[in-house]
Formats: sequence, structure tokens, C-alpha cells
Amino acid sequence: MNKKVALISTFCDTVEKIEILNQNIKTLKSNNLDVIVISPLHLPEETVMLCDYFFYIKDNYVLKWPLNVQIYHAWFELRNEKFLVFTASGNDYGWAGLNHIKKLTEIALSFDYEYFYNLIYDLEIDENVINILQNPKDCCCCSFQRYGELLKWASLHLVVMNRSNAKTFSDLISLESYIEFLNSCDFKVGKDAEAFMHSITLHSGMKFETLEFPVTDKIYINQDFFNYSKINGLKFFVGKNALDLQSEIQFCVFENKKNTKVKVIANGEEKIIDKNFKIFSIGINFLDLQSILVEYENETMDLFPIIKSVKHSLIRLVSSISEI
Amino acid sequence: MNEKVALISSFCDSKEKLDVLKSNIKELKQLAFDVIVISPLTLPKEIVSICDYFFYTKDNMILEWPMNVQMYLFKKEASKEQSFTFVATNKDYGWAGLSHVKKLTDIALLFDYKHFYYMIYDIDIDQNVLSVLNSPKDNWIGSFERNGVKVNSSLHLMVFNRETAKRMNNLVSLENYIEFLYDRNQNGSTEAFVDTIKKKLQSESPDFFIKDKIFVYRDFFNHSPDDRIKFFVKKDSNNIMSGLKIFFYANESLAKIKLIINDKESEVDVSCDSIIDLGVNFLELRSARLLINKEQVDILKSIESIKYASIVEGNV
Repeated sequence: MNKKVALISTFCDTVEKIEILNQNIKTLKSNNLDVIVISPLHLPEETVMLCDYFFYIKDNYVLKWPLNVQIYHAWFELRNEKFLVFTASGNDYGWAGLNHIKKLTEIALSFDYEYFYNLIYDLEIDENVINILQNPKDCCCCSFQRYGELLKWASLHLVVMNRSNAKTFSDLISLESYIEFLNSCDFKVGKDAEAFMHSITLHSGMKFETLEFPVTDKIYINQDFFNYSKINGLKFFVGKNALDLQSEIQFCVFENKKNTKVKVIANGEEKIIDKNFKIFSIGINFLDLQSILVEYENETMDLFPIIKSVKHSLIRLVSSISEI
Repeated sequence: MNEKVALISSFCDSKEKLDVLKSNIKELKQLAFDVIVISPLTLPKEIVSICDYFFYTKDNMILEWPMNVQMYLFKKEASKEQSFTFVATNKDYGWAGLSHVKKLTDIALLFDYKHFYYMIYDIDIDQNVLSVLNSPKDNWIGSFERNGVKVNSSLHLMVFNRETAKRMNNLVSLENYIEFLYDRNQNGSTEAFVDTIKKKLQSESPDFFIKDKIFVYRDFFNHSPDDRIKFFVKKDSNNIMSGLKIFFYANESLAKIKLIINDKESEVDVSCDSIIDLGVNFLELRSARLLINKEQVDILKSIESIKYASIVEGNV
């Protein structure tokens, strides 16, 4: 048994992700780390055999509306000095990641390891990371960058601790403390697992070492939260206020390459959208909506299943970005 | 999440064993159990996906000579006046089972379960076991029976509440187990160790015996690699300078064979029981062959693989 253990959080649902996980496990093993992998998905025998321990966990704690969502904003400055703001929501995978860290740490503490490296399966193990693997830290967490841009001051991508700090850290993580943080924190600092992690580095009393380099990951799947269109040349966003389901559904086109009219047919009634960046109400609330089609040039798409799946979205006009 | 969790220790290296494990998991799920399986072998997706949690461990902590072995005795009557006892040894799988129990406890205590059912993957879930599954116990260790041999305590089924599970976990350690095995006043078996835990915990005992579904019979008293002949080797690992002996027995259908030790040939009548001194100790042994009906049988590897085996005249 090595003194250092890598605790790898995974969600590998593609061959590409599994290959990266395998590669990282091999790199970690070659740096004399034992490896414990946690996964809500079954992993191939080849991967499991590479691990020292593998924990399959049925739970995949994705927080959804109304418990919690990740909120994303996009805005466009209009000619009247106002801002058109789209607010979209996505599931919160933060607790899934934090819960992995908690379970992995608790399991690892039942062995005699001295250093605990919590990391994401697709961590880019570059020279800086190798240096940390070879020179354990008592308490550190890394900032995170993607495409050269620093995105987070703290992240779950690489957290290194000695035994006593790992125990303290694990005790600080609970669903209650995470929800409490999300409900109390300032939106500007972020309402996500990274912000939660950042608050631990600042306010827990643990002596976190600040590393000079950010880490990055190998896989990033870009999800467009603002375009509901499946028609080429047309992009639009829909407002569905889950806090007021009686309010009418809104529609806003923000890209119209062919510059032609868009027809929206809700419950059989047609509405012509002839302006971009303008908020149109379709005149029906979500509870009364039975069908909705979008016609553009010669193409028609059924928007109903998409609207049904949206948990919460808003379209607003504000005078300044600070109002968001 | 259910209040009861089944903590299943497994070592399933055949399809038959996997089928039994799968069938037991399904039955437990129907009885409103969560299921955590531990295994030193990877398991197929169809089994992992019906577990609530699955823990693969690289460790398969089998104790071998000289750390520990399981001992088996067989009394061989050579004649009316003379008898021998074969003392055979095998690896001790007890700590492998106990370490599964320990790790399963560590994991299960991370969740909010109220009752912890420890069991072996091939437990026979009969009416008696069903009654225990349906009526959780706070501190209960089952008794076990196989082929008429009954033991008061075993790892086949134990049921604890959270508090007792923690107490039990604290009593199980490799140090405690080894210390127990080295205590000459104790019967050095895993079951006997579990019985001491039962006494310390003052656990309830059932009025029935639990059974398992799979038993792989192994003849510890036959060291022959060839089905045509049967023999037991005396190899005293406590004194490796002592001479090797072979006891041929139960070979009535055979007559004379040739025994070739370090290229030195001798003839042996194996149709009746006969104990042969090989004239060499283990360190001097370079080759060992039998010639049966002009066919050579190499027995060197079989002798090398024996950790400890003894032949004692009379009773042990």
C-alpha cells in the first residue's frame, strides 16, 4: 500500500472518457499513488482492474429545480441603452461531485493512507500536477482554467490533503451545508460547487496553501443553454417562469440568418415574429399550452417537448447589467 | 434508501457462483433491502447494476504458512495395530472473510442504515433465514451446518444495529485474529474466532442452522496430480532438513510402480498401504517422478507446493 492515494470522481459515459480515465489511472499508479475510483456508472473490467479499489454507487445526486439549479445569463445591449437578458437554468451537478469527494475521503480514511488526492477523472496531469503528485501538500486546492482563461479560484479538480485535514474537509461537506451556502451566497461569487469550495478555503479555518498555477481538464462538452432552435440559421430563446406558471410564455429570436419571418403556432393559433431581439408573448401560459410549433422558411420544429423539459427560464429587459 | 442493508461478501470465480449471487441479491431486493457487495474479483455489469453499492478491492487477504494455515486431520488405519494421522494444511481464508466484514461495515456506516445484515454470497435463504430478514435483530450471530458438521457461530449471517455493528467492527482486526489463532487453548478457526466475538457482544443465537448453497469439495489428503494413484506427502516445514516421506494408500487396483527420486529408481508395491522414506530432505530434492504402467508422472511440483504436511503415528 502506498502512502498517497488518488481519489477519482468519475462520470464516464463514453469510450473517450473511459480512455482518459484509464490513462490518468496509469499515470497516477506510475507516480506511486494507490487509486480509488467512484462511479455512478458501471466501468469496464479493464478499468476496474487498474484500480486498487473501485466503488460503484447507485446515487447520482443531481439537484434539480426547485431544490437547486445552475443559473446562466446571456445579455445583449440594445440601441435604447437597455439590456435584453436571457436567464437559463441547468441541473446542478455540484452536489454529485461533492458527494463523491465525501464518500471517497471517508472510504480512504478507513485505510492507512497519509495523503489524499481528490481529483476529477479527466484532470490534465501536466508538469505542475506531476510536481504535486510527487510532493504532497497538507492542504491545498487549485484554481481552474479552461482554454487559458481562469474560470474559478477554487475547484474540485485537484484537492490535496493530509489525513487530519482530509477528515476535517470531509466533515465540512454535507448536503445541508451545500444548500445553506447556495441559499445564502451572493450570486456574484457564484452559486456552485466551486464557489462552495472557495468559501471553504476562505472561511473554514483550514490553512489552504495557494498554488501558483491553475489546473485544467481534458474534456469539455459545451452546452448551449440559450438556443432552443433545431433549425439551421435560426436561434431563439423561450421564457418560462417557473415561479409564476400562470405567466405567458415568451419568445425571442436572437439570430435570423435568412432574415425572414418566424411563425409560432401555439395551440393552433399563429403568431408572426418579425423582429429580432424583441420579446414576444405567445399569449398562453405553460399550464394551458397543448402544442407549439415553430416554422422558419420551409422547416417546422415541435417546440413543445423542449418547453416541457425547461425547468425555469426568463427573458427580461434591464437598464444595467447590475440588475441581473 | 431502505433501513436494512445486506452486506454481501463474495468471491465468485465461476458462472455457478455468479448465478447464486445474482439470485440472492434479487431476493434481498424484493425483501426491501439495500445491497452492498464486496469482491476481490470484478463482477459483470448485470450484477453490479442490481446492487446499490459495489466495492471492488484489490486485497484478497489470504494467510499462508507460516503466518497461518487451516489444519485438517485424517486418521488412516494401516492395520489393526497401527494407525497414522495425516495432518494437512491449507491457506486460511478466514481473514479474507473477516476483512470483507470490516470493510463492508466501514462503508455501510457512511450511510443511514439501521440494520446491518452480513452474509456470504451463497447463503441459502430458507424459511428460517427469511424470518430473520423480515424481523431485524439488534445483535444476532447465526450458527452454521454443512454435511452434518455444526458450528455455533459463523460469518454466514450476522445481524446488528448500528451500535452493535460498530462494536463488532472494533473487535475485528488482523492483530486480534492472529493473536487468537496463536492461542493454543483455542480451536484456531474463523468460526471459533467469530464465536469469541459472539460471546463478547453477548449476541443472540438462533435455534436453527444456516446452510450455504455452494461447497467445493477438496481432498486435502491426496497430493497426487494423477487420478490413477493416491498418496500423502510428509513435508515438515518446521524442520526442512527432515526427510521427505510418501504414504501411498487406497491404490488397491495398482500393483508395483517405480519411484524415481533425483534419478534414483526404486520399486514400490502400492496395492497395500505403504510409507516410503524418499531418503532426501526438501532442500535436496531435485526431481521426483512416478512410473505407472510405463507412463511417467512428475510429482515434483505437487511436493513443492505443499506448505506443511505431516504424518503422525497414532492419534494427534
